[in-house]
Amino acid sequence: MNLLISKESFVLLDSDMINQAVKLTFLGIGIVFALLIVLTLLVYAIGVINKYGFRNIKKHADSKNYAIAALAAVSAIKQKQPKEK
Amino acid sequence: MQELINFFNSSGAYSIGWQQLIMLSIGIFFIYLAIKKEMEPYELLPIGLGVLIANLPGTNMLVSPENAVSYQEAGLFGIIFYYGLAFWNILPPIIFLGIGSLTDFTSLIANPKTLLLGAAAQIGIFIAFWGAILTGQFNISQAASIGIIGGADGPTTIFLSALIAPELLGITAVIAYSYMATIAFIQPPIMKLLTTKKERGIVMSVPRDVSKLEKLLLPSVAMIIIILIVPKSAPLISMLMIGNLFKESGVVPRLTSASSNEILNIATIFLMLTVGTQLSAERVFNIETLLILFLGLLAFSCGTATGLLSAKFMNIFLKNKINPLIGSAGVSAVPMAARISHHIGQETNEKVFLLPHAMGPNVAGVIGSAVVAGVFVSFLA
Repeated sequence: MNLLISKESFVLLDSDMINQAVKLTFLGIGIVFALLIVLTLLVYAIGVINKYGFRNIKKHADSKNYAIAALAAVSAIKQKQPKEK
Repeated sequence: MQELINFFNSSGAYSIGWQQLIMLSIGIFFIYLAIKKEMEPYELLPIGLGVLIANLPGTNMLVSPENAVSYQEAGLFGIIFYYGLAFWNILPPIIFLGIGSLTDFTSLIANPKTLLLGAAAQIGIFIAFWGAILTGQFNISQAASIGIIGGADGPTTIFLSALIAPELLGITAVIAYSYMATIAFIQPPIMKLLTTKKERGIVMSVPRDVSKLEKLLLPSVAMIIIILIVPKSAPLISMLMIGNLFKESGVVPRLTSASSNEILNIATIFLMLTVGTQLSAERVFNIETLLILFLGLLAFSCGTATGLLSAKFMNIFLKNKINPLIGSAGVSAVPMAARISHHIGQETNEKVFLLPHAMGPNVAGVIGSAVVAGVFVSFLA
């Protein structure tokens, strides 16, 4: 299947070359799309992990704050008690 | 007197031809565009200067160490080309390190579906690849090297050409950068042709806030996944992500600053000057160059069109519609393509603010074209 061989500089456009080009096109487009779809899902997953992680950190921070507040309240009461006695 | 005649005969002025004179004018024109019009000055100015050096006869500055028959015969730009591109090909990955440290993945993380637009815009590469094959003038490696111009990414074009078709390196790089410089003229007519006024006026909501954890996870995990699947894209992808991790970690400001300033600038000087020196008259004055010019334009235009059409296709399934103009930013050309999407959007509706949204496909385009380059290297190098 020689399509263009009119000049010396022309590349022999044979069926092997066409086959290789078809293979490369399908593989190239396929890999790029597959990879970027995987990355899209990955970014969504990172978003979910981040959201969940934040909620946990916030929960942890809240409980820590409650504990500190409780401790502060207890020590304040303790400080008051000897004076009242 | 005879000595004087001999001296004149050995001078460049005696041996200069009309082709060299035209190339010198082209070099001066590039310098003019860079300085007066401020078109891609960081690329066009050193490229223009490189063109001048390449076309001044008798300098021997382009003699490669490979072809040098004795010591000290290799020329400065021959050495830089040989070791920086042809033999080691280290300059494009170094540029990618700098690009990574300047890149912000925030918009991509906030709106992950825009990654798909970056993939769609790469179809232009394959259209130009087929165009080059069907002309019958190029072999498959040269066709791939021409197609990658559609990725609108200079370092990727140089990286791939140097590996699989070094004889086309200068011309593909210059055409890629020239089209990137003139993208403001190429894209708008296609954008207006393929979208309705109503579509261009779609207002997108403000992207959500992105945490530091997300900004750290994306480059790390993406780098591992991409390199596992396409190992040949590692030189570009790894350096891009390393540069980005330097920046996002926030703990190595000196490394971030060095990558995005000194290293990037030094690499740019040598890369662009060397690319310019590849544009010698004998390479430029042939039918292939004209064909590459046309195919490069075809690649850019098709990439823009496929990005836009993919955004329109996505809108069929989306509840919150995206403005299709951001699809054209999928052809890398960071950040010019994103800015053009923004400007065309604002022309239609003042409330449309597309810049943060268009940066998503724009950055995805950089990743996409580096992956395509990796695929081409895997099969053709």
